[in-house]
Amino acid sequence: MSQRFGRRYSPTPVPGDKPKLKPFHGKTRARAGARVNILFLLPFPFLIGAFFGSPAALALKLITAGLIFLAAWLTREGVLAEEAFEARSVAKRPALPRKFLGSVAMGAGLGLAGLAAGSVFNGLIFLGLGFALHTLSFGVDPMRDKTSASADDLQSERVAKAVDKAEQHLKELTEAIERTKDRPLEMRVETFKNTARQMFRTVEQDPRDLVAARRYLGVYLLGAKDAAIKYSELAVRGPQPQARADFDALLTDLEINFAQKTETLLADDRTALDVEIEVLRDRLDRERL
Amino acid sequence: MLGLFDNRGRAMSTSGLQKLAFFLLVAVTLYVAFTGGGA
Repeated sequence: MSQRFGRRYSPTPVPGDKPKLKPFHGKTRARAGARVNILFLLPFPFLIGAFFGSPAALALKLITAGLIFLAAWLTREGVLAEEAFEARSVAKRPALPRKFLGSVAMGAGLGLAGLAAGSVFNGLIFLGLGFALHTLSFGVDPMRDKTSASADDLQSERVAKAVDKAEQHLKELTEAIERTKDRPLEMRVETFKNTARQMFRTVEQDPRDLVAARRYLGVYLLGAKDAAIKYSELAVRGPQPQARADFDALLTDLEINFAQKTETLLADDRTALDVEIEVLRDRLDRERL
Repeated sequence: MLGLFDNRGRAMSTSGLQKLAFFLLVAVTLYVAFTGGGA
């Protein structure tokens, strides 16, 4: 029969009809964009030019092209690593300073091309220019670990490790589902990942939550990953509507549980904030003579 | 202009400087490639 229209965009939404997180929620444009892509084009003039000279020049120019490719690749990895570092509130600095190594490779490549012309001085100039300009354009790698303000280094490290592991589970889960080539299910997994990541961020902001959330970051995600792998093994053989429905239901259950747990963690944090405010206001009250 | 300048009274923003440096890097690389290392 007739039903009152009331959904996401209507002024009076149906009670309990919570808007779902979009798959793109909380994501930003990747910064490894045009500039990094242009870096990958730079070796080509060297590659082509290499074949119009002496054998020695050929070898040097090919090595130059290789070094610039290496620089481009290292820079891309460095920019991606920096982005992952910035997205988290507790993170270890990247183990390898990739952008710095990219600058070194760039300088070395250009310096070698200068040497190919037979002048050490030119080589040194291009080495310096390549290194300096590359460093200026892409910046330096994150140097220090990011730790939470409310926890010591050991606790922060524990959180970073747990989140790393959880992210690894999510990655393997995604890869398994990608193998099924089931676009709607992939989107479903993306929304689940958003929910899970909200919990990661909550734990990172207050590492004391780790004890309460450990089962979620470990056992449940591991289980979800194993289920996804099993399901994808079945699904690549042919359509499995029952298994798909079961897996979908599992994701829904997990999502609800993760969201509720995150809510409780946040509620704890809010209680801590309330206590803090209360104590401070009490003290201020007493000051008022 | 090309995002080189920002609107906070600074002549050049950090990202503008990065863009300029990148432009120079490409220019220097092409110079080296086409002149054969300044020979």
